[in-house]
Amino acid sequence: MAYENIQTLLDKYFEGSSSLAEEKQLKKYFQEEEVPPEWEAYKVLFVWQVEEQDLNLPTGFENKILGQIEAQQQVGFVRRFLRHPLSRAAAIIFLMTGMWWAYQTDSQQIETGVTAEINWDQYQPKTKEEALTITRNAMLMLSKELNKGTARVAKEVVKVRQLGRVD
Amino acid sequence: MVLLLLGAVSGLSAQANAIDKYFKQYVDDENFSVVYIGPTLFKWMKKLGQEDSSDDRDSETDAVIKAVEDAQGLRILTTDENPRRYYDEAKAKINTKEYELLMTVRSKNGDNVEFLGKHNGDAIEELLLMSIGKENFVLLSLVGLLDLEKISKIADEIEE
Repeated sequence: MAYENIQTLLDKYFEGSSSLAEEKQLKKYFQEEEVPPEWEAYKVLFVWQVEEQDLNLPTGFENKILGQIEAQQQVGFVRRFLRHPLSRAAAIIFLMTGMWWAYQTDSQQIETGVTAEINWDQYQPKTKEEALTITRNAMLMLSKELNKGTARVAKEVVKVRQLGRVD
Repeated sequence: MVLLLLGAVSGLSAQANAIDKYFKQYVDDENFSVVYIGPTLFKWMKKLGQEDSSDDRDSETDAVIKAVEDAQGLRILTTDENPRRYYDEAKAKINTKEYELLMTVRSKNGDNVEFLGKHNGDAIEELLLMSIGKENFVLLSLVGLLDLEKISKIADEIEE
């Protein structure tokens, strides 16, 4: 192709007035033929365009992208769910039910555990007389301490009364 | 609101058998001596009280029998190892909403006795004593329908 022709086509291309057929001619020229040094830079431009056109997406690319988008949409759904007042109420009810269940289980363990696990009978005295002596001493201690406290309270009441008395 | 609800549930949980939890923990502790008088022995004592007291039984024993005629169980735990630690621990563990502090007797020598009661209406269904001295710590629980006046009269019988 004549130098002048190519120059004309190039001028039209950079002015934006070239037709598709003319652009095709340019691409073909720069791809196939030896170009003068002053057009070497244009060769890169037109060859790159051709290479880019030949690029194809790898197989499965579309499915991969769609999968990623779907995963992002699922996260969005959970956030949207928790944002709704009714959903929050449902979450609280669910939490409370769980705690109630845990409490019930705990209570049952305590109730059955105390009577079932501790065999108190093994700590009983061997004879009735011994039991009476232990009870007697324990009750005596209780009684003494109880009276000690009561006597002290009575003493304090007398003191308070004396303080309040005007002679 | 959630925090309030959480508090209510944990409160319920804490109230359940706090005293039995305490006993359970120390019954197997080698540092404690454990004694238990059960309902069968109390029934025997009640029967003994209904018989003639003409023999060798003194008035003090009679007063004891009268005081425990409706008792169901007496549990005593004592230790002379680290009494202060166990006393503080027991005080912290017992739920004061369930067990009302009836009386505290503090002596000049550092001895301290606390009476706690578990009420059922006007009646006391459990009397709990926690006592600490220089040498030992005593935890005593008396369960049943209890009359404090009858218990108080036992000591009077000795003094007379």
